[in-house]
Amino acid sequence: MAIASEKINTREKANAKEYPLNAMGIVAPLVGWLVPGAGHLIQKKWVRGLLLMISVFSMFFFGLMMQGKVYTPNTGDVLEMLGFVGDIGSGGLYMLSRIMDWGQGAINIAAADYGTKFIIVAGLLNIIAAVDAHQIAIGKKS
Amino acid sequence: MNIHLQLSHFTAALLFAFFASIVFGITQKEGVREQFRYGVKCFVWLNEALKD
Repeated sequence: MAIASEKINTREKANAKEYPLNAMGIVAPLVGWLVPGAGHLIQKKWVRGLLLMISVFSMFFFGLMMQGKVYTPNTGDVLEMLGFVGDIGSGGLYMLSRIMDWGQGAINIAAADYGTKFIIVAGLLNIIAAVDAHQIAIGKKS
Repeated sequence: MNIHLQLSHFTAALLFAFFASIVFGITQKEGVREQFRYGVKCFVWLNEALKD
């Protein structure tokens, strides 16, 4: 019994060493998801945070200016649901666009399809940025 | 949104590649020099892929 609990303790210690999860490791990706780039900014990675923020914000707003569509959940269409998954990656920007009713109009130019992709990719890039903020917070990346 | 932008395929591809390569450069590599080099590489690759 004692040997078994000792083994479990050793395994837990090894896991903690390999994956040192801390409070910042949880907060940084969440903040980074809500406000693109903020996950890096709260860790004082100013330049990286600003560049990520500018990139994601620009892609999202260029997408909206190109009359791209912002997907809504539960439309019943699988492709639209996948679009929603991409869009929700933008966090606060997605919420803002839903509140302001942006990206809901009828598409009447061909370039609007590019805009829709810009909005989705902005969300996906923001998820990558949030994961990067997590990696920095737990010390896996400098 | 009231501002309307109509871009050509090439301009849209350039913008897409520019912003995406900034994020890829920062997130996929360590060290400023490596990040910059990877960002430039991504920009070139994405433009090659998207321009046709």
